[in-house]
Amino acid sequence: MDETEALAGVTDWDCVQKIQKGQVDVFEVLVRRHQKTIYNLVYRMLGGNPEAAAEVAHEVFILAYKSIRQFKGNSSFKTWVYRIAVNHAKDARANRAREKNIFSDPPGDCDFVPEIPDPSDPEDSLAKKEFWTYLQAALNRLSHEHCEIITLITIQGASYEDAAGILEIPINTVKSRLNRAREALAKECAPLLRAWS
Amino acid sequence: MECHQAQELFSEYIDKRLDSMTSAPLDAHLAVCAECRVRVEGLERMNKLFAAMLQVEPPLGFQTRVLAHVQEQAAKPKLWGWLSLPFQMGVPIQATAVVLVAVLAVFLYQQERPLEQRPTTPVPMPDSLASKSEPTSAPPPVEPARKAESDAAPKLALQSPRKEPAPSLEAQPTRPLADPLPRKAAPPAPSAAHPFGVPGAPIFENREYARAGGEAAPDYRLTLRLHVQPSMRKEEASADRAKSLRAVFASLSEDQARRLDQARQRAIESGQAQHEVLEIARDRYGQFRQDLASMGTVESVAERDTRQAKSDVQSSDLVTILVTLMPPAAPNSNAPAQPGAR
Repeated sequence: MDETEALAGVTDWDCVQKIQKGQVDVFEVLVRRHQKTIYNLVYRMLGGNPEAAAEVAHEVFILAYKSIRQFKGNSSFKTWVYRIAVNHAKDARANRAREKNIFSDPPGDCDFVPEIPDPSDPEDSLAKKEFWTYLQAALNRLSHEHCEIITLITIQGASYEDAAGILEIPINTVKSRLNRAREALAKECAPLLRAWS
Repeated sequence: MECHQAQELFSEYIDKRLDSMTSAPLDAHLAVCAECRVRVEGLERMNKLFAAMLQVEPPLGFQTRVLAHVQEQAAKPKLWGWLSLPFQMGVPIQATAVVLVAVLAVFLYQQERPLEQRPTTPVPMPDSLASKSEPTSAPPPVEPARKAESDAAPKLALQSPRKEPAPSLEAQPTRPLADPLPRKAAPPAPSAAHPFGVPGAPIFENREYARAGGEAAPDYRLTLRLHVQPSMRKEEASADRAKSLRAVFASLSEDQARRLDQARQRAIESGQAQHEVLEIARDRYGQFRQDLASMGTVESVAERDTRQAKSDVQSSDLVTILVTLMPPAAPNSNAPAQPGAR
């Protein structure tokens, strides 16, 4: 059993302490554990762009490594690295919006409503691809704050408490912001909801 | 309860976070207010749709590139090591001051070197960092509760997405907050659908789009000792190189051949091993091995044991190859020109 397999049962905090003592190889364990969630978080916040998400997620982990000596364990490692990811994605999203104006473009056809695909359809079916694209486009049209909180809580499944720790806001602010975000998202998806009802 | 009061509770209602004392008046309002009832039902449906959004896999090679970059960071000499070197050598103080200024300038230059000029995979990877099988699906152990103050996240001064950020590592002043992660019980195990462990009820079967195959071990690991290349005049370099790449690497796409060539150049210029991950059709692997002979000598080959039946293997299947390019073994006077002459 090599070292990384032996560390499978070790907590994030223990891994951090080993890395702070110079065991750089242990960082692989943290990357493995959190790469998918970090990648998905920035992926959704950056408009579903895989290249941008890969670049930003890469920078998040590098920054986490460079700053790991400053991490004292007062919050969980997951919360801390998510916080880095959210801040970094926010900056990248603002830069991309300035450069390409992709987040302020209106949809091509405001009345286009994709069909709800059948659950048994394959994942690469046109119906499912169109549907996910529609949802991602609705998410893109939200403000950064709303997109951030919907991504964290609804898509990534974070609790209100997790979100409060990551965003460094009180939990009541999480509740009110989420409420407004969902109302805003419902407006963006109004044609879909009308077709449903 | 008025409508505006009810609407403030919709999110918590949808997420089933309301206690019975708060939900009872809301339920009573929804029973009599059709407008609020329709709104909350619409929000619930919409929430379920977004909650079912697929978790996509990071691109192939993501973990390898991150870890290679981390190793590069770890290999950089620390500032104190550079600064104390003259004292360790017994050099007089005036000379020491000159040396210290020079060392500091070099160190700062290395820190600020633009992203494009850094080798992407500059150091040989220890075996423990070579790509392994899929990450374990077992959840990490639950950590004990932490104190109220939160660790400050380092901020970035990000000028553009393409430029290396300059992280600010100063800790922000802590402020008393309620513990953001109260731990009344062990959290539910994370799942592929919900990484934070909240059990979901996705509408659709939760398989990934899988843009790439995820972080699997490479099928082949090749170590190539590069040949010494004759120097090329600057004006010949780019046109001839593009033509020769296409001619030599028939097994690769133009982009792959270019990336491999760039890694070769970095290995020669830096004197350090470079890594490149390539994905090609299985039936082109033999041709690829022959193509590599034009660049160097294959020193080692390792093939992953997939335990896959030969009858299941298709010639059109894609194989992942991790190529480690080792700089030429002997010092040469015919090495390519310096970076500025490329």
